[in-house]
Amino acid sequence: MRSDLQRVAAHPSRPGHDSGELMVRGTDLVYLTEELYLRLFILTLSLTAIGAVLSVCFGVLGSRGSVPVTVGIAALALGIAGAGLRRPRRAYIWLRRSPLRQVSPAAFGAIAVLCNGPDSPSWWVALPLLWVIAAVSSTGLSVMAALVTAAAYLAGTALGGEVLVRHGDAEILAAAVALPANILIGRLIAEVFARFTLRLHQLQRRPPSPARPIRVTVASSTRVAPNPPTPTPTHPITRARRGLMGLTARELEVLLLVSDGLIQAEIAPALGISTRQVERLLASARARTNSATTSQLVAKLVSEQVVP
Amino acid sequence: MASVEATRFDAGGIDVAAAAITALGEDALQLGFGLMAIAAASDTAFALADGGGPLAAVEGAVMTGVALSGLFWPTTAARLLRPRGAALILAALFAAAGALDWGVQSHFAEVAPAIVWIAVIVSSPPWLVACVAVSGLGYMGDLLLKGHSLAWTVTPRGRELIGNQWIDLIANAGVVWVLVTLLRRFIAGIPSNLADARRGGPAITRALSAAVSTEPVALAPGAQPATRVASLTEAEHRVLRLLRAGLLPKQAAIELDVALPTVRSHIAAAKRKTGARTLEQLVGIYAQATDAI
Repeated sequence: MRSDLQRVAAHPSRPGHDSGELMVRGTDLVYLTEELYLRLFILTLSLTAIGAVLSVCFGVLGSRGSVPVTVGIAALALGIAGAGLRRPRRAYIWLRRSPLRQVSPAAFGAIAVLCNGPDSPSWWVALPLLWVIAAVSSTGLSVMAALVTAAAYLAGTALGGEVLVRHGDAEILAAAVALPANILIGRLIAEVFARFTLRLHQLQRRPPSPARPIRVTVASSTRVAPNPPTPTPTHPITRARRGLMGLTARELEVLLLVSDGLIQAEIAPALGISTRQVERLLASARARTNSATTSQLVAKLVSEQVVP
Repeated sequence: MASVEATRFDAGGIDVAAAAITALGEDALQLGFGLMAIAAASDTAFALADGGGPLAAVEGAVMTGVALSGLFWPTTAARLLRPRGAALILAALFAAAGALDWGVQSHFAEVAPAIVWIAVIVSSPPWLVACVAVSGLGYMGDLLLKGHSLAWTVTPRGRELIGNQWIDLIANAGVVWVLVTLLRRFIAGIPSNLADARRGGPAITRALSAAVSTEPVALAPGAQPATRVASLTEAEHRVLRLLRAGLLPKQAAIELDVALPTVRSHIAAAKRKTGARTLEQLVGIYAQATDAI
């Protein structure tokens, strides 16, 4: 598994910026990351469609919820997912534009589980809708949306006259806990793969050749000191894991565009977010890296080879 | 065009795409073990709270231990799981836990999707099917052994569909397989995707499309950072050193005992010489050049 990477890393003819490297600047990585998010978004929309079908199956086969309400909610979810899948780029950008839009799928999911009786089968619609939020929004907002949906699910169950734990059976509580847990997992997956994409350029690079250790030899000695073992070249991915400075994928995206000379008014439309969100991401990135200014932060990223 | 782009993605005879997919596998495997660790730890807590006894504690400890080992030593885990069917060992471990767990259903239900995740990364589709089947048997092992129905059970809340746990397992395997396939295809398609974007093809936003299709400053002939920074004057160097250290232009003016407009004029001159559009880009180019020296 590692040999390919080491061959890439150790190859002597490393291409430079002018000799055909594919990812030559931050904008390239941002573009690829956004394309990745778009694909994850399409996947979550497909899961919403599947969830809608499953909710009908469980609503009809099981004895939970009202079948007509379940079918109505599922049809609406299928329509939303279908519209999104028809024009995924437009839908993705529409949702990214503001936090209010980002949480709108959760609002639909929460209303669905609240109105569809105890232990609602519409849980199967609410869960993938929360994944949609995980693909377009931040971790904080996604978890908040999931907690609201979980509360709505429990409230719907309580309003339907069902006790949350009966004879030690905590299935309903477990289903409520599963909502934020699944969303955290969804965010984790999106973050891991976005960060992976944001350091793809490091596979193109040869790691800097290690400095020769200084050897002190005594003139009277006739024995030659044995050569110290040559340090193994740093594994590019391992180096990358250390080199992202604890920044989130969204913060890195903004910083990569800043390092390419884009101003905030250009970054916001490029990422489909507001300038206020850009400012907030830059401020949190500076705080995370103990940088006084954005210029200092960009210089640090360059030194750590986070920027291509 | 495709072959030309493929060559561009080929860094000195080594296929970067293949290396990236390999690296992706390692990251994805680590993620799978991370999910398994979380699932095993939480399931153990639930099992003990549910009166699972010492057996559940031992099973939980073994599964959590396996998961944490994979999380902290992903390369070793990848090597151990490389032989075809090795993931079956994990699936069998889970199956044994399920079968030994004398409840109505296995306490360790949440571990199954994580094991399936790992199986997707390290196995081919036939082995994946085998893993799902073995995991599923363990999942329902106690029901089979006690002669329960595999489809329905009666709980205090009424009739429950046990079969939905089978559907969960198969659905999880399907979702993870689709996710991993999607990522692999995404990486393999990077050269053509990026080439399309450079030609002004589809991007998420028009602004991003315009930014990608603009010729990067660093690609201009003779415009390497070191070359561009070499033409800076000593005064400009002094200003840029302070800005790189985190000072604002105003603070740099006080530090150098000069007027703010003087610092601004140095910055403007440095921008002109390096081709930088903004102060941040200028400091980035300066850092790149000085690090390279």
